[in-house]
Amino acid sequence: MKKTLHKVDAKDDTSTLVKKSQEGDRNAFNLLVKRYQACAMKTALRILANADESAEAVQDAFVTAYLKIKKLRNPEKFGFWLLQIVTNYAIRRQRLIVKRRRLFKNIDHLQPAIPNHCENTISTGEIQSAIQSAMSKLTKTQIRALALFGIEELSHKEVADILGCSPGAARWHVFQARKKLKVLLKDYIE
Amino acid sequence: MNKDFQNIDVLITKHMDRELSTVDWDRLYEGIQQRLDDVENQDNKTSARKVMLRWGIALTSAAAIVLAVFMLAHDSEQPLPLPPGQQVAVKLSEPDSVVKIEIENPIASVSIKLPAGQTGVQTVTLNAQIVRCDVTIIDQNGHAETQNSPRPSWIIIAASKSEHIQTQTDKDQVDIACLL
Repeated sequence: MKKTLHKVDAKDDTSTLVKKSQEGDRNAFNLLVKRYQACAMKTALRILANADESAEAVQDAFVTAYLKIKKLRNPEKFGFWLLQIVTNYAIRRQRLIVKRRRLFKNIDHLQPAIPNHCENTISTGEIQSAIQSAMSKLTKTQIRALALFGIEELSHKEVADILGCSPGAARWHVFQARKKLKVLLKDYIE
Repeated sequence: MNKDFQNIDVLITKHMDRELSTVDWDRLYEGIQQRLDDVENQDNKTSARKVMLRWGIALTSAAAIVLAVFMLAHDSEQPLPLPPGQQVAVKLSEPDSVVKIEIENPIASVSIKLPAGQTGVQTVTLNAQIVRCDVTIIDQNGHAETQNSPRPSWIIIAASKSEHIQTQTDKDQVDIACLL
């Protein structure tokens, strides 16, 4: 995509910025990045529970969005479209994390055990691992639904639109996800 | 909402907020910019490579055409290795049923397989040119061979017509076997 010299205003609405991006305006896309990076990061964090991994997923998502933005037919739906991409990358990365952890678990058997001096407190890392493994037990749709329902900026109708189902079905996926997590994370719930 | 469900949401949201507080937004933005720059550079490199590849193909094709034209012109200028009407005496080197003959004269040296006892119009390749020859197999006394005559040791080849190779298939057929 070539850099062009369109006048880009930070006050431009998303549709205008998307249209300019589709014409090859990198500055317009940069404004979209600034506008949506927080929302994308929150969504990724709800799936990956780790800031570094989420940042990677968000970067991948923005690169894909940049490369495919010309194919986006409804510029006003850029946000939904981006979050779909973010959740896809986050889920993919989450599967990798679980695989990696299994591999390291096997290696850990060969290492001498490190004594735990604070057995009564649950560390952030432990919660993070627990959330990640619990999430890996959910279906992709359940993960997406749960992640998107937690984003305040999105209404249930909008979440359903992103998931491509009715609001009732979206709520059902969230219910099923929470039901599974209730069992899987029972040790961590206050 | 079920209290356990609320607690799950609280657990995930609390953890998310804790992680969010560690995010360096400027660094994230810079990271995205870096990745986008890399993609753009990659695109430019790929485009340049495509252009170079196209030029390479065009130049190679042009060179191949020029070479082919030159070779055709060069070939057509060569004199016939066996002018029409000229006769070449050939000694049979192997007294087998399928004999190998070697033509030795100042302008051509070739090996062909010739079924013994057969005469007639023969096509051979001399100096990359197809030459249609009249072949007469003679016995040691200089008489044309018959079915009952002893093994021949000499044949006479006389060029009657020349043809350039038109196709690879034609050339292969001629090179593989001499058909009477």
